Amino acid sequence: MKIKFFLNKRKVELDVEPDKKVLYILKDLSVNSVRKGCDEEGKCGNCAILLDGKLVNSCMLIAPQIDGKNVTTVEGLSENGQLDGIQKAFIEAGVVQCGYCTPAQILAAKSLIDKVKKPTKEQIADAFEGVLCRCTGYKQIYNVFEILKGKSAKSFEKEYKKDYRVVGKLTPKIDAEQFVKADDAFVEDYVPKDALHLYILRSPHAHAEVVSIDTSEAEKMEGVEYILTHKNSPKVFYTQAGQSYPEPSPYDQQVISKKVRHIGDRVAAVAATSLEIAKAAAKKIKVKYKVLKPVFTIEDASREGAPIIHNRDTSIDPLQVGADPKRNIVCRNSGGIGDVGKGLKEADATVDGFYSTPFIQHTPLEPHTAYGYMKNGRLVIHTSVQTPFHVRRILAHILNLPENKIRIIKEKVGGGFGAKQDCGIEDIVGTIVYQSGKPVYYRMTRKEEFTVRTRPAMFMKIKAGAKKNGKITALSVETKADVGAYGPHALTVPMNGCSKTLPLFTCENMSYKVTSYYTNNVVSGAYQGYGVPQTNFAVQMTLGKLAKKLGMKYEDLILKNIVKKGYRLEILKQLGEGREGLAQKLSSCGLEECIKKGLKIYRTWRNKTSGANGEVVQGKGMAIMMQGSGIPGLDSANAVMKMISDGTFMLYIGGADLGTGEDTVAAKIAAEELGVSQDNIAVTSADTDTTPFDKGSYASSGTFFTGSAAYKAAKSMKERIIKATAKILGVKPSRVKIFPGGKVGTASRKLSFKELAMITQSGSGCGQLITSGAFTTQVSPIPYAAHFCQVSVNRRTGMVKVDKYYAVTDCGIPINPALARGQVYGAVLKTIGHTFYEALEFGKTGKCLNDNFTNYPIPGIKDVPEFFEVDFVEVKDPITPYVGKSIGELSCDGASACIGLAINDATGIWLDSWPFRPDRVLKELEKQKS
Amino acid sequence: MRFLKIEKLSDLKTVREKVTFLAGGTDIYPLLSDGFLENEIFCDISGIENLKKISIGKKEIKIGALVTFSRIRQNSVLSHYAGALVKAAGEVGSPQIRNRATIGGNVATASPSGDSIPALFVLKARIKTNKRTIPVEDFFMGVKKTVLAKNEIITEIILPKNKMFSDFVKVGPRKALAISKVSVALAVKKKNNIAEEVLIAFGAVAPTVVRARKAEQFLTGKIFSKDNISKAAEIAKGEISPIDDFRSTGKYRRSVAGVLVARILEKAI
Ligand SMILES: Cc1cc2nc3c(=O)[nH]c(=O)nc-3n(C[C@@H](O)[C@@H](O)[C@H](O)COP(=O)(O)OP(=O)(O)OC[C@H]3O[C@@H](n4cnc5c(N)ncnc54)[C@H](O)[C@@H]3O)c2cc1C
Ligand code: FES
Ligand code: FES
Repeated sequence: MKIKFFLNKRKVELDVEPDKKVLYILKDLSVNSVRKGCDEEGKCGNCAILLDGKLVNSCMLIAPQIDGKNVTTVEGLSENGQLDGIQKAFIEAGVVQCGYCTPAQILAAKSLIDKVKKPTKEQIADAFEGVLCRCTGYKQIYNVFEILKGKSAKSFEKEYKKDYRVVGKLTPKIDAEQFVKADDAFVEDYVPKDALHLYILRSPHAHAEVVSIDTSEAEKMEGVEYILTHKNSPKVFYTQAGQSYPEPSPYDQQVISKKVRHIGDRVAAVAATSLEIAKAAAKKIKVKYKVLKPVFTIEDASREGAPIIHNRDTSIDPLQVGADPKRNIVCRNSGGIGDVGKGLKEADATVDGFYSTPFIQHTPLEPHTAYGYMKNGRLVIHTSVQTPFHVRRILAHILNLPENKIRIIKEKVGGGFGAKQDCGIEDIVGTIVYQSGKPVYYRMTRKEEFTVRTRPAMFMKIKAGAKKNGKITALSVETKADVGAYGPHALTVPMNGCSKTLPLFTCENMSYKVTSYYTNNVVSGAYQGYGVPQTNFAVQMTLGKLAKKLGMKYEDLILKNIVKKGYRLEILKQLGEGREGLAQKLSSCGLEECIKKGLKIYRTWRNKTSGANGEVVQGKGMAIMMQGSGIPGLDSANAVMKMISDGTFMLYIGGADLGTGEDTVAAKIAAEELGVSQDNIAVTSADTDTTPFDKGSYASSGTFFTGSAAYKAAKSMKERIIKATAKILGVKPSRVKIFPGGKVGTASRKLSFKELAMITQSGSGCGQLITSGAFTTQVSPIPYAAHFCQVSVNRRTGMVKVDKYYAVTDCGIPINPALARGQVYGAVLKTIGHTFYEALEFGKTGKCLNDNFTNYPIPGIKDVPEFFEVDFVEVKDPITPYVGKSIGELSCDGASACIGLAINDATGIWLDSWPFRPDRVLKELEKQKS
Repeated sequence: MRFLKIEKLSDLKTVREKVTFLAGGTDIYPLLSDGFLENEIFCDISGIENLKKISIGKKEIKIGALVTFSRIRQNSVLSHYAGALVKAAGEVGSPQIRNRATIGGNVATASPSGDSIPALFVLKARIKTNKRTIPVEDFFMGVKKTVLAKNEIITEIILPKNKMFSDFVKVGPRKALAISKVSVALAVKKKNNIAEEVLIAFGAVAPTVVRARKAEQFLTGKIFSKDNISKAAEIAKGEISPIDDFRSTGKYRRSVAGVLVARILEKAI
């Protein structure tokens, strides 16, 4: 049918199928801003547009419904390249993180502001409730409206580090403009029309063998260009885990294997000229399965005679990590310091507890996407990934290619949270591109996201004992993890849970034991926090019980036992990642300061009773936490810096910004060191051809590792600048100084950076100034935090509401305060979702029952606590001059325990498994009554 | 898949084949991408201006089938006479959904968790179609089943213009975009703190809306005392038997249903 409409005031006339969704009509018109965050369910709202000024989802509209109407998208907001006020306010408020949801949020703001000039908080929440964001925690959206009222960000956002000019100061995220305008950014924005589309046929059985597979009918279909099955799949075993080599994860996977081990495991992949054709062809593939008995629980997996999920005679473990595949054990590890038995005997009070946490999905709003092609005999993949260099290595291994025949380019990532810390789809995309020689695009559906990567289900037994005076004498953690069908991160996730909880305490008798099991459940892996949110929940709840038993306040017990600066963390020697770890003396520790700062506010909160018959009771809780800043002795990062001819700089880092602001952090650090402003540094990152090696973005390493590499490159650039200038001026280098604003020289004779660049790069100069920074370390600074909350529990409905939440963090220096704060808001709100309702549910056959946003809800703006504040304590750490510690993962570690202890404070019940659903709360309350 | 569009109600007479009406599309579009509706013939009714009116008469209020929840929510007159419906409208989906979703579509879909439906029950609505007018009580046959015949179209929802207190509450896992675990609509007419008439309806606990008739009877003619309220709530929750699913247990839904009834009744005092 013919339709006419106005797209951003320009008339468009089209002849389209009447059932064509407006989302696709706009995509075909190269409108990037309509982002598809769900399977067109109307739930994510990231595809929103304004239709005659009203906010609607473009996946919920078809062609005839825009006929004759006005369609507005963010592409139409900036005129002549000038940003609109709302776009500017979004940047200034620091509420742009990965940027995937940003266009829809901006339109939500516009639809509101066009109606109401000074909206109330309620009106703002109302307007934004249909746009999901997984990064920001929504809180800073309210600041956007303050800025629109004329306030400056400085009036509500603090700056840090008085003596610095760029670090600790409010500066825009360097790629924010790209996102608010919806310029090309994500893989999906770069895919040419001729790319083949990939559809993956997935197993309907949890455990089966493919007896035969017949693709002949599918191959005959017009438009089908390549089909991959186990028959023509590479036979190489590998792990998808994006970890430094040799990985502490078993090589237990093939691109497509003859055996399927979970519902959703790959059976075949069809590449065709359209997704519809690929799908239709996949339906014609005839597969005969020999269905095997599945196992869905650790009990069943470890039973005598249980079905064996991995017959790993053929596979290899690069690191021997206690695997026993015949008994479905992926890996094991144990160790400790002192003697826990003795510690328990010495204790005046002991408690033990058993805690469990479910499979949880990351739900980045942008799903996994990759686009690959062959160019000049080389395999090139544009992808949304956290670990491009590991992906290159893994692919080289799978395809038996030299690494220099492969190029991985990380495009902007619309949220990762660990889901993309793997070679999760590049393995299959790369294989098909390489074997077929054709360009291939693959984008996972929301439903598929739920089957390929989750957080493992963990079961934790904790024992603790303390003296009457509160001194903890023993603490032990025993974790069993159900990692599902394959073993990426199977050892390190539960191990990390121990290595980031036990070292919080000065206790001398501590032990841990972890065992991970294969089951036929969904595959698990890395997830922001990496085992710590779960284990810390278990440990802190146990200590909460211990405090009660001792008749102490929780905060007093904690304050008595925490580590301080200078303390030697002996336990870390035991807790390596599949090898010997490194004991570390604490070079800084802001934990006590965080607690004390938080307590000042926490102590002013009064618990009240309200509602009919006093049905609503309040309670308070707190939790402490730590994380790492990368993995010392194991990971590394590199940076290269060039001065270009006008005296500005190019900074090349291998680090993979996933929307959290790593590129900005690196630029700020380099700018600080060189005495220039942030926009003098342009960053190119995470392209295996053009940037140097970096482990990738995981283990909270972005700021410390990648930032330190940038720092070293900048420092070396500074030295080069001084040397070159000294030579030009004919003075000793010791007399030359760099002056702020891009000048260098002596007190009497100065060159601008531009002059210097022109001289050095001229035929008679010393050549372009190029430096590099390589960063490895044996120690890494540990970030700490204390979180505090107050909750209301409705005794009649079991519903719990978080009224107040206060997070105080020692991240060293908040290099970019607004972004750092946004990281905390986002992480906390996500964890509130995990605590209350996020959990994958499975039917009897192992099928996931809630693999969509309709049935797997994630927090929206209305779930933000009324009082939600984030503060920092500034802590100097000699390891890291102005590089700072990590923050993103750390902030996921506290909410569950904090809330669990608050619920106990309010009602006396103990909740020991997530999610704290109202029916469970009510059940516990009833148990308590009887 | 085929598309027709009609601009006037009378054009419907010219349509011979069985069609699926397309109003806001919020229930239909999610099915489109799953390919469930490949063989359907759609009849786009979204352009029929006549069905987009809200008219407040002397005795009746008429809400056109194509009126969106955004408009219901913002209508200040409706909030006097149909508090439960206005409240329910505000609970539907999100702004983007409310800007498209129509009341006619919500009724026609007949989902157990359709939020407007319990409200329409307690407001004693009648569903007017191009053929007849049906009391809401007689309209629903089961999950996604109604008495609508082939190509019968809902034209209006008619509410008696009563100044009654009415309210709607729903419980879901999170605040926005939640599918109801359980919802309650309630309307009360009282004189000197005595209940002259009480209507209680539950959504999302059974294939169709369940009226708590015993509780209604119990309370009618009685004083609004705390005691009577909690007794009525207790009786009401005994009138439903919701099932377990992965979202919640039946037992939980039932006890929350009781609490919600009590909560609204307490507001009515
Ligand atoms: C993300 C999301 C969230 C939602 N949240 C909620 C919620 O919280 N509460 C809730 O109750 N609902 C919710 N819904 C569903 C709600 O949007 C629909 O039930 C809506 O009211 C249907 O109206 P529509 O105009 O979009 O109908 P359509 O999708 O156009 O049609 C729905 C059905 O009704 C028929 N139909 C439509 N109009 C008529 C008519 N006049 N006469 C006869 N038949 C007709 C159609 O043929 C079709 O079978 C949600 C939907 C989405 C996508
Ligand atoms: S893609 Fe439209 S709402 Fe998610
Ligand atoms: S910034 Fe909102 S989803 Fe990433």
